[in-house]
Amino acid sequence: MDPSRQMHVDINSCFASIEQLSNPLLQGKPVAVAAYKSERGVILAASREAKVLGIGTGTRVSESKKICPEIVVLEPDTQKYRFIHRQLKKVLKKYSPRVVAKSIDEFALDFKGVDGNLMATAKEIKKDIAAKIGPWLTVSIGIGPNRFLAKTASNMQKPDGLVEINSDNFENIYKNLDLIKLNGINWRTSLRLQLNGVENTWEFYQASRQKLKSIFCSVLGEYWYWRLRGMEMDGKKEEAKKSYSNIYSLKKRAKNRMELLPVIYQLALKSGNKLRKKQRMAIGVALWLLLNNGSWHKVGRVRSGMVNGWEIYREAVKLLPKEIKGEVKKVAIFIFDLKPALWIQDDLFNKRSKFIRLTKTADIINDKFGAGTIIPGTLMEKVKIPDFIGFGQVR
Amino acid sequence: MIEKINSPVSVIMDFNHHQKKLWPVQIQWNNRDWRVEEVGLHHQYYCGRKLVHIFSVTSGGMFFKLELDTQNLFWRLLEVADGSV
Repeated sequence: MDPSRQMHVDINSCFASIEQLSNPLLQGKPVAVAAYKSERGVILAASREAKVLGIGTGTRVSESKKICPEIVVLEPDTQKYRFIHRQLKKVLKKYSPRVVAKSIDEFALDFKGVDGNLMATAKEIKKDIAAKIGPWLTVSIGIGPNRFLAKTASNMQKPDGLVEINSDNFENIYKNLDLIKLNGINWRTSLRLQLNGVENTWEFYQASRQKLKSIFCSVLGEYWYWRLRGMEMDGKKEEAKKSYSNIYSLKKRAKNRMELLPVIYQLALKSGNKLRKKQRMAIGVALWLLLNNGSWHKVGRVRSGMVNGWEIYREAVKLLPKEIKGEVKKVAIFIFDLKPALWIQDDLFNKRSKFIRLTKTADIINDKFGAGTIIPGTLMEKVKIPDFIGFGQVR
Repeated sequence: MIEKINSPVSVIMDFNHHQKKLWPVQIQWNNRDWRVEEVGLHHQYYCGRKLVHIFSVTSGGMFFKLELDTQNLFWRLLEVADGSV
């Protein structure tokens, strides 16, 4: 195994800890941050005091109140979480030249070519976070020869953990680690491994490349073989994304088109901002609805690519059925077939270039005065646009 | 219990040029002066091009969320909470 030069930093109970940090009156109390405070809301993050009681991510607000009537449930304050994310990144950049944000609460640090003992560095990072951000915010740090083992190590001791997986201790750790605890192994894969005679992580490590290839029926088996031996299989430069998606759970179930339009507008705007940042255009758009009686989706394509949120919104609305048969719980927009936005094809009467000029101006106004200052007239009234943070990788 | 207030508020603040720190020290709200005991978090964000500072503070067993608009230097009291459900 290579020497441990990768570090994974994970904020403990991220959103809930940040709320407790900002409001000292909540420290030591069970706190949960939920998508919505209503009974049907789902908890996104629970404080360590709530976790002890069995309340965690995915628990319904109503259920958490049954377990602990004193629990304080808060709605997410996205600006606050983004601020702490940036502050933490600033602290971490002092220690490693290569810091990658894996999500709003996770960072991967590469120490290749950087001298020093990583255990000592990790202890210093913890002290620095306490001093610069606040002692209430704790992180679990994992150290390993590759990103995967560093993340695995960070999950082994929570909260405020510090674990290293290296060539001296990996055998002992693997022997006591359930397959399901490995990042990337869900219960289905774990079951598949067990059916093939791989009962735990140590047996997973000992399995031959051929055996793993046949279990996974793909090259993924070989990747697992090397990953468990400390080879870097996850740090390669990511390819340019081929699609973007944005999904949103509705606070109140929607029954008609008008109720969905503000949400579609917000999702389209978010997708459009990504396109603008990456200077790309999308040829395809898909709208997906999760209803109480199943799901619905429709895919559309445009001849000349969509370059901003307004165009995506216009195309997505065209896909929306006139009558919605059921109650909508979730809405998603996918844009795909992304191409560099080098040229924009105009139509015969220059209508498109006029529209793009108009929407560019609207974007400038929204950038200056805040999202939602200028909205499409079809929305009729100024809508309160919900802000939300995804749990995926920060790009 | 959290109560959304979102109204203008009078604030006395202190700037220490040695520490390069700026804190609200007293709030006048509900016909009462509230001496700030602890600043839990000071964060900022952009609303369009306008920089907004948010101070999360406690005083007398109450939590106050204050907003300083850097465009006009006006303060607003956004939220008040007592730390219970």
